[in-house]
Amino acid sequence: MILSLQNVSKTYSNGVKAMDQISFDLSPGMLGLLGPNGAGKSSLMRTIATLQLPDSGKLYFNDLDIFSNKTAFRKHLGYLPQEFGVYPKETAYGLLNYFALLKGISSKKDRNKMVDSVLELTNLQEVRKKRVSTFSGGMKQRFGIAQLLLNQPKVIIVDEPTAGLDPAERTRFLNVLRNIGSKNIVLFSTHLVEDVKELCKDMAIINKGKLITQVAPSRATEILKGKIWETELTEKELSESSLPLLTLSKKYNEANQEVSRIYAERCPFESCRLVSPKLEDFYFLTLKSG
Amino acid sequence: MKSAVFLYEVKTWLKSPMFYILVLSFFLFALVSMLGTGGYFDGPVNSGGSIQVINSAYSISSMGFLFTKFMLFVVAIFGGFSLYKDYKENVHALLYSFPISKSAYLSGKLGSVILVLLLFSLLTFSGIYFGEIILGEANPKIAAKPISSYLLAFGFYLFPNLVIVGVTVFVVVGISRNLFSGFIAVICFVLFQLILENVFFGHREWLALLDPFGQNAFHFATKEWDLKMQNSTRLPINSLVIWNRILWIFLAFSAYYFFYRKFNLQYGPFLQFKGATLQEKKINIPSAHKVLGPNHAIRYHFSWKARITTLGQLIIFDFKSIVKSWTFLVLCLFGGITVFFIQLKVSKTGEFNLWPLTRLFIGAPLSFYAVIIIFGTFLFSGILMRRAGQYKMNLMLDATTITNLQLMLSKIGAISLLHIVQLLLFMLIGLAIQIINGYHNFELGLINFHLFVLLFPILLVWNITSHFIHSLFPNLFLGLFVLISIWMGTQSFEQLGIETNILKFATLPSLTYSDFNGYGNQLNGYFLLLFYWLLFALILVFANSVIWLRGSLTSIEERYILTKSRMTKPLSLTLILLSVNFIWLGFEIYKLENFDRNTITEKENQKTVLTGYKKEWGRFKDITQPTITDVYLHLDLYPHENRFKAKATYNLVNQTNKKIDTIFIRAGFDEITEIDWQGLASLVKEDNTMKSYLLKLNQPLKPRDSLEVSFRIKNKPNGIFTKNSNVIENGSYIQQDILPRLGYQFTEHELPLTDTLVSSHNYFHRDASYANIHTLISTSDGQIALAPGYLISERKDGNRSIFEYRSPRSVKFNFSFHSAAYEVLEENFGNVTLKLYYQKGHGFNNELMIKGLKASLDYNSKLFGEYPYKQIRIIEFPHTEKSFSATLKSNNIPASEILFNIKSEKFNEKINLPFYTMAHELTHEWFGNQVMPADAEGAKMLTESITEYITLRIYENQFGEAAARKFLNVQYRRYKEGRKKENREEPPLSKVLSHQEYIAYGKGAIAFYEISKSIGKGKFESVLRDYISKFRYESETYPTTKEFIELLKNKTTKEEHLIIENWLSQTSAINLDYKKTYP
Repeated sequence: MILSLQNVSKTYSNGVKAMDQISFDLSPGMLGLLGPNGAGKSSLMRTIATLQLPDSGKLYFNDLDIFSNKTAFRKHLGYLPQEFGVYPKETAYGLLNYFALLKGISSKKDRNKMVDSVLELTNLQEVRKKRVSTFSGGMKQRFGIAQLLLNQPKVIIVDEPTAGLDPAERTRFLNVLRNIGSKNIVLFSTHLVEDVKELCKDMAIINKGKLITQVAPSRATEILKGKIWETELTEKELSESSLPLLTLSKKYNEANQEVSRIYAERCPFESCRLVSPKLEDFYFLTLKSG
Repeated sequence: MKSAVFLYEVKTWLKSPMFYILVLSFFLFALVSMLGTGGYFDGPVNSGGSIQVINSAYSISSMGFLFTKFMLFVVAIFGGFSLYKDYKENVHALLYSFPISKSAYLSGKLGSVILVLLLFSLLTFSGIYFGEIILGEANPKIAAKPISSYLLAFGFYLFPNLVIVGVTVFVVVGISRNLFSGFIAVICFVLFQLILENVFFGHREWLALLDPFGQNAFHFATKEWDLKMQNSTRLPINSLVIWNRILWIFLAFSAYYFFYRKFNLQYGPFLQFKGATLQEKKINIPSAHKVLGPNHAIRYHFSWKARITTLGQLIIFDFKSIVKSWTFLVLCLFGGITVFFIQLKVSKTGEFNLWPLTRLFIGAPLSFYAVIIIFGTFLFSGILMRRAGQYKMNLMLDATTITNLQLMLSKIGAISLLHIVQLLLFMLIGLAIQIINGYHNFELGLINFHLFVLLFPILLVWNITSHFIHSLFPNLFLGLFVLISIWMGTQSFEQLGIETNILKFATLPSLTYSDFNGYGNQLNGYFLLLFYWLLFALILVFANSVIWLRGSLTSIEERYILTKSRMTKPLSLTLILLSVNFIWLGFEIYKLENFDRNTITEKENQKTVLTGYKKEWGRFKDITQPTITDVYLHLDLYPHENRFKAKATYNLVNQTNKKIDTIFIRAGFDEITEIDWQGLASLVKEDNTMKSYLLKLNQPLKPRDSLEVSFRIKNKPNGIFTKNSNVIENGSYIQQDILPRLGYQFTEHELPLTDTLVSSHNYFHRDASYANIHTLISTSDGQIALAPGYLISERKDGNRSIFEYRSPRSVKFNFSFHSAAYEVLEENFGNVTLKLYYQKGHGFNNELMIKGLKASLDYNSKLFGEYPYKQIRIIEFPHTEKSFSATLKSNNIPASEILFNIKSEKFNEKINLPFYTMAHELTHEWFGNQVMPADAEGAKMLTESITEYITLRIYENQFGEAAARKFLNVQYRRYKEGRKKENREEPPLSKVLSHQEYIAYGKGAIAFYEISKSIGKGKFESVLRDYISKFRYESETYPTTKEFIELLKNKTTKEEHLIIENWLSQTSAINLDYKKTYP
């Protein structure tokens, strides 16, 4: 099972290049899609979800040309957009039934069975008779996952689902996602590097419509081992270094001093401390080194 | 900050292309309407002196009211969008956190709405003014008027109305945060006005006060105006008008005030019923083993059958979403109440009440209701189409396997279900009214057929169109605007002179139904047109599946590419094939519509042809012609084929003392007539359009000599859209106009009394006075055929029934022939047999009609001589064949179905019309038949006024003096209403012209009643008796009003002469307080 993108490009009428010759292959497992706001993540996902035509390029699911066979592909597709709402006055159960109908479960018995099972999986059984419009953010996101699962998709696309969730909800949500991720192709966009670290066997970073890198998270931290340093030196002081270095991120310590995380092949200053690399470092490094 | 909100809002509108599209459209609409009314496109129509000036204060205000209704749609946009856009884009979440006060926010918004409405309405109204300027003062419909009539109409009615509705919409949308509720509010305003008009039907003052648009206040203030005043008087502003305006402005701003009080700059809804966000009681961390494995037990179906099952369920889902919405409930409630009153009222006219017949409901009330349904369709299809997007569910839905066709059809299906609910509601209301009225003949078959077979499919066409347009224009306003424009276009085609049905979008000819004949032959054409529009709808279904919005589209180019990618070969082929068929069918329909276009149908053409004819044939207007003394007619009716053929033989006698060598024959206009003139004469001149033939006799006809001439007559073939024969499946009513006549027919009618030749022709015919008629009439088995005179014989020949009739003496050349499956009621009065031929189930008023005949026979034969025949027949004819009336034709009284459907229980309130009509018609035997007046002005005084007076006396004898007063009051109202429409000098009764019924009937009855009161009833009756004896069966010198007045004066004193002169020879004797005398 493979989802393959070949040279997919898209430029909006306002001139923004949302996708620029993007090519990559996806196999079962979770791929985290990272990128800053406006990098083209949502455009890419909408395109794979058959909701937007690219200007050029091809998408294949196994041997199926997705754009010539949208309906055939949609049978295997589960999609959760970045932002979604629900019809007012509809219960979770009713609305999921409606989605099940749209996804081709025409037998009422089957529909009920399937709805029950996704409610179970997303822990919404208790609130099945409640209106979805009254759900909290996390419940609503899980509802989103529930609807996506109804057609037992092989390709699942979730667009920034953890944005705005509190830590507990986020954990619950990621658990749900983890459970469905192992045997299917899951494309999961986020700007939280933590999400990727916790969940994904693979990650891709895009920026300005371009795919910059595709790598396993464990491999990414592996590469940086022995090359990430922390220092209280200022930007100006750092710039005097004879070694090439790159500031990745900054934070403040308890003494309210600015602490920079920098990337350098060797220790640039004596005051620098070697720290163990985080996935975040890889992300920033990728973005900054272009 | 206040002005900041205000300025921002105004600027937003002024920058919006929508504003300019609307302004331009309405400006042009106003301009074209004004120009059209002024005859700019087809030349000013000279309607015989009675011209309504279109730039008078009265006309401008009337036009203003009409425009208000059209502009309400725009008010819903302007009034609602201002607040709605903040909710829609979630701007309110941010905006409400700014340091603005709610007064700045709300009043800024409302202020901008009012300003924008002002700009919009001023620009629209200026279209009317520009129209006036273009038409120019040379136009007969334009009078020099100060601009103040515009300003008053605008300032008093149009603009305040827009503000009243605009403020209400603003409040409603503010409360509901739903834009559609604004549109519903607008519809409710219009329906509310209609409800008021029905509830306060008899209380004009209350209606005037309560009407939200002030329209009825205006009508109340101008109710006494005649055309002259309408053309010249300034806009009336009385206290009722002012109070009406104050009331509604007060109500609208009170609503705003309460809204303002309750309004908070808060994120949540205006009215919070439910608690806040749901919290889970316990937090479950799903265990790791809960992995979704493939569940093979669940089956996914994508076969055609499964897709159809799914579609059914989606339809129900969408249907429920609308039915449960309060917008729909409000519309149903207001629509239901309105249509309840309209159905209730349709059986009530000012003069009489009808039984609440099903056929009345499916007429005007249903047409009106259909408009509500169609507007509802525009709105609800818009709601459904945008629902997923509105609630941001579209991307999830669009990524499922559901097809575009299913999505579209589910919405169309849901609206169709909605239509069914609305039609059932209509039916239930009708049934309720029938039950309330004690009418238990529930014609469920008829109403169901009409609602669901005839109307529903055309609603489906609108339904499909509505979805297509909403699909094409993602902007709701633009979609609605286009839809309403299409609808308005279909309504105004006729004004633009377009008659063909193939362009009147989804608008079918209105059907009439009669208990005799059902829909008659109208259905074939109707179904053909229905099929034509359904074919078009099918094209739209396919087209819509191609342009259907799915996924996330950001530009028109993207949409174009998507559409193109969906245009598969089979689909393109289907679309082309359907379109070709549609165009071909349209062409065929056009041909069918015009299959007998060689006859003159267009107005312009008619005029030219007639002018040419008059010039060419008018030369023969004075040639001496023989008189028709005997008619032998063999008439074969074929009811099921809607045709007849006939052979007529006339005996012509030269009653002059000159030789006659030329015969001028004018044959029936809708018939094909062959003249048997071989060996008798030679054709000198013919005009086949006007059916005129000039024959030169081989042997001139000497004085007192006679001549026999025969004709073969048949009707012109019927077309699917054209009916050329009065023979219908049941209830045929044929008159003498199928028969050829002699002489030029366009001579001056109703000569002045001073003309020397005035007494030589009778008012009815030039070519015959009294003639014998002998008819052999055949029809299909199971029907009774009727003709003038007595029934001589009756037999069957195969599946034909043959009847022979003969008049016992010569009668007025005014015949009727009938055929239907009648029920018959027979009674005797003295030696006269009274027969009533009526449709089964229409026997409600039989007794009253017979009573009317008897009373009339009794009164007239005692005073004016024996009734000359042994038989009188009342014959019911379908209301579809002729407008409401009854008339006397020899010893037959054809009477409309309507008279038979009158509900006769509350006669103390209304005139007992069945009784009255029969008494009146039979009186014409003496005044109209036995004595025919001369063809002079005032002729109608000698027929109708006298007859109406006698009927009054018969009525008084039967029902007493109070009833007679009521009768006079009806006549008084008739006179008063008629006089209002008169634009010329009103003539005295003795010079009344035939179209001035308000004088002949209304004033006539009162005048003779007053005279008889003054000179004594007995004396007046003796004058009538003198008149009858002097002129009975006179066929050489016919009487005029001059002779009648002389007879009257001979028997009266000098003082009484003054009274007579006053009533008959002077223009106005009735003062308008007459109502007090006869309340």
